Amino acid sequence: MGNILEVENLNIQFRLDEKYYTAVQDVSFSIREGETLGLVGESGCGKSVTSLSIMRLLQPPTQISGQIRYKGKNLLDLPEKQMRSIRGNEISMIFQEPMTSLNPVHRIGTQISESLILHKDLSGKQARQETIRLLQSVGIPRPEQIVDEFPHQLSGGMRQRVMIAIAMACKPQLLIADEPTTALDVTIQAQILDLMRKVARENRTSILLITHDLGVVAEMCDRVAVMYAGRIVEEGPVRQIFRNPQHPYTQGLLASLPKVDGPRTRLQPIEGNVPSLKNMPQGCRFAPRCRRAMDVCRQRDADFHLVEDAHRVRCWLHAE
Amino acid sequence: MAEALLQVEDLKKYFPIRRGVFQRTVGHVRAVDGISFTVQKGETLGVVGESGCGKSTMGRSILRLIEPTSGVVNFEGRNIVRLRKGQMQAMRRQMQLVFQDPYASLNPRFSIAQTLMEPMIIHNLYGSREERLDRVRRLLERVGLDADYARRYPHEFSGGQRQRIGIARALAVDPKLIILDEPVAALDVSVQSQVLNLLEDLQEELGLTYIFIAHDLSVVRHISDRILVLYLGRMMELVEAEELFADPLHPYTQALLSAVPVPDPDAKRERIILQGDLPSPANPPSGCPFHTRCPVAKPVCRERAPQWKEIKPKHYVACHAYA
Amino acid sequence: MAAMQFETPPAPAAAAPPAKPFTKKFWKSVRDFPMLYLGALIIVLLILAAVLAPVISPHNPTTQFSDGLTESGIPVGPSAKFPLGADNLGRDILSRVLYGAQVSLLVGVISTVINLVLGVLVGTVAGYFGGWVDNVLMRVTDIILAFPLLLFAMALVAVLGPSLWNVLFAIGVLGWGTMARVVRGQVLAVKEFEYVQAERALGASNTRIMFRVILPNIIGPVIVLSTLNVGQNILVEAGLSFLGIGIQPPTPSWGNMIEAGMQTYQVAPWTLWFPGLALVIAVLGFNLLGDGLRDILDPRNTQH
Repeated sequence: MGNILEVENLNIQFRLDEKYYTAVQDVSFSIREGETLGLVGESGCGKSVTSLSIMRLLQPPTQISGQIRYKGKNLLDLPEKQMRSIRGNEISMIFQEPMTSLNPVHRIGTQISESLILHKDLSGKQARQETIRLLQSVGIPRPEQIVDEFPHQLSGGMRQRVMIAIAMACKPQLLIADEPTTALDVTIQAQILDLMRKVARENRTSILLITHDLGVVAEMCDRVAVMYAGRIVEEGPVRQIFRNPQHPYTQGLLASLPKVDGPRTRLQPIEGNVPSLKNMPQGCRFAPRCRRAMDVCRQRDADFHLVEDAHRVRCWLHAE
Repeated sequence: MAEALLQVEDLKKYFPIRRGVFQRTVGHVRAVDGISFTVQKGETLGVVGESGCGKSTMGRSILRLIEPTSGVVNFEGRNIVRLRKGQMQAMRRQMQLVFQDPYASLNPRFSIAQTLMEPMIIHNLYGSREERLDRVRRLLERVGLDADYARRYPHEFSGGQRQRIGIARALAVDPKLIILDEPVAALDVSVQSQVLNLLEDLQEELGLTYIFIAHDLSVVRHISDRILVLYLGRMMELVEAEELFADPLHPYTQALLSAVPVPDPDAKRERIILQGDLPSPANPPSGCPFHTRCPVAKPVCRERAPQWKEIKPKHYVACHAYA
Repeated sequence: MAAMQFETPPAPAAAAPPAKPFTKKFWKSVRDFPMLYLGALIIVLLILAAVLAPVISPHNPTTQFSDGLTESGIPVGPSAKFPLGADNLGRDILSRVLYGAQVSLLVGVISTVINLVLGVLVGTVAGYFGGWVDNVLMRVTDIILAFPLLLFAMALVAVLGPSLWNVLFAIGVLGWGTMARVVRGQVLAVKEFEYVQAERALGASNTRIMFRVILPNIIGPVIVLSTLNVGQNILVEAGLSFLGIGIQPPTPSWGNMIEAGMQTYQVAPWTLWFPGLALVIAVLGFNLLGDGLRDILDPRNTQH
């Protein structure tokens, strides 16, 4: 299986108060065909920014460098017109807020058939048929009626189903899901995750899943990249990341979670706070919160070191 | 046997739905529909449920930030629902609230010192400004912040630090009961556990009683002594925390627990995926409110609401399956 | 589109960044908000004109000069003695425009203060308490707003009799409708914030919550609206004076000067132009300042 997406040395800088701040630094990862990659991290780690840059949805003043290769083509070099034919067609995206990502003044059907007419050259009537079929496939009851309703008439879970129907309308090769269930209730989240797994399997779609929820990652992903303060600190197959985490940050995250089984013991938090964009520490950005930080950590950031097969970590503790 | 600090009996809060030119009441949202429980001194009662289950409304009704429609709230044996306005304002010293959103719950125009002195001024505690400032510094240190932060403003702090300030504000009046409404839901994973540990430490040191409202089941399990499960404003199950997870009796609790994603890729679990959406509390189903989604619903569930029963020792459930 | 939204929570600054020199900051801010500063400049000049009118006016504003009129009784045009020409009674227009600034500012500012107090009071109480209190107060506001302010003020001044203080009073007690509405809307939004609920949970009284917690948080829009309000009230005063029920001659006001100018503008157009121009510039100044303040107070324009 080949790589559908390859991100290489991605750097993203934002302008604030006439200065540029690096939100994403040297981020590289790839997604294989049919694979689900989880991009995990806390607020401000750059995971959402990374996903938006793949869709080229970041607005200036932003500086992006590096390569984002989709099937070998660097998306950052494509003219806007070609990019539009990829967006929503070959790569599509679902967002956290199903409330605000649907247009409130258009009927559900119009919003789905829009991309079918645009990308697949269907007639209005064909598009409507296809839309109803899509709504049915994402588990929406009474699709013939819902198609003519407005977003506010639907619940949050139903709206997220509609978002998935829109995203899957053109059978994309890659689905980017940015915190797709964060705004939903637990029982609804279970439905949506189940649905995402199903539609991805049926269409052989790769998923880039952006989330802060390690439970969702464990459940959905084949591989995981952990981000902290704009960099990937650890990457590997999901089982190895959870069973044998190597970066002190990954270890800290996993240790700080309260558990749903076993005895209740005192939580082991990571001390300190996530650094802000304007106040990035020197060297390894996790060093100020790291219990095992050494002198070298505060001076220079580490390179990646291979721990096991396909499991790499950016930490001085692994430098031989 | 510990003594009861708070006793809630048949608490109800119906919000009227008004329509038309004359704002005629055409129905009610039954946000809280008959909740009763007791909280012992020094205990933590966890309250879980999904959106629309009424958990936040319940918390605010107990504090009378929202006037309950009916019911009794006995605090140290006194029914506070009956208190007059002035008495109630004095009573607020005893019971405090910590909010979910640390960005919205601090007044952006108040410095941290002003924020923390406000309760002392309202209740006329600690005579002089110096004494109050001194108390502010001690409070900040108590919640793990630098005492010099007193001069700063909320926008200078991160979410976790703001939540610590919110907790310090609640502590400023030496309350006996603190209702924590999703206190860690808005925080980063690595900061959540810091705040949870702080809450545990404070409880131990100051002998506080907590009502901990949350949607995150693992957090609630961690911090609670007992857990109350709500669905559409009604009580589904109430039991000691570990028992709830080990042996959930209500079908809703079982589905809720099985839906929680566990951070373990090898976890093999029987997942119950509930069909359908949460019904609207404005138009709740007849009988047991859960029957529309319940995998084991019987005809009787549609007709009558089940009784609240002690099925096992100290394990209460409202479900016809155990009738 | 949330592309530019940061997830970064603000951490406490380790140390305040070194303060930029004040002049540099000032010019940057002028470059960012040129209209704001133009408005401010106009208002400063206006205030100077009003305050210094007795000093800088070339003549007494009510003195009728015989050489202000030609032999056929037509006002003389701009000259060394009368820089902006003379009016239909031979008075110096420049001096009258300068003194007119006193009247305009006095009426504009004081009536706005009255608007402000009433509007904030009504709006805050209505928004905070809601229910029937809100209903009653907002219906009263609707009635106030249903009539054009100029018409309403005319009626009231007609009853009270025309004088500076009556004009000021009429505009003050009738012009608070918009302020009340805006304040109510802001209060409705702010009172939902959890910090307001937190204050209630602490046991604070309603008065304390309204005036110590909510009010400081809506001060921005109130300032903007008040500034725009001054300009509007100056116009209403000019209108009343123009119609002859405002400031009474011989006291100069831009309104009654325009009215006088109307009679002579065909033979002496400057009698209309200059008071008209003064009025336009003054109102423009307040509008520019108000709009500029709105921009500055809009969080999207400030980077924190």
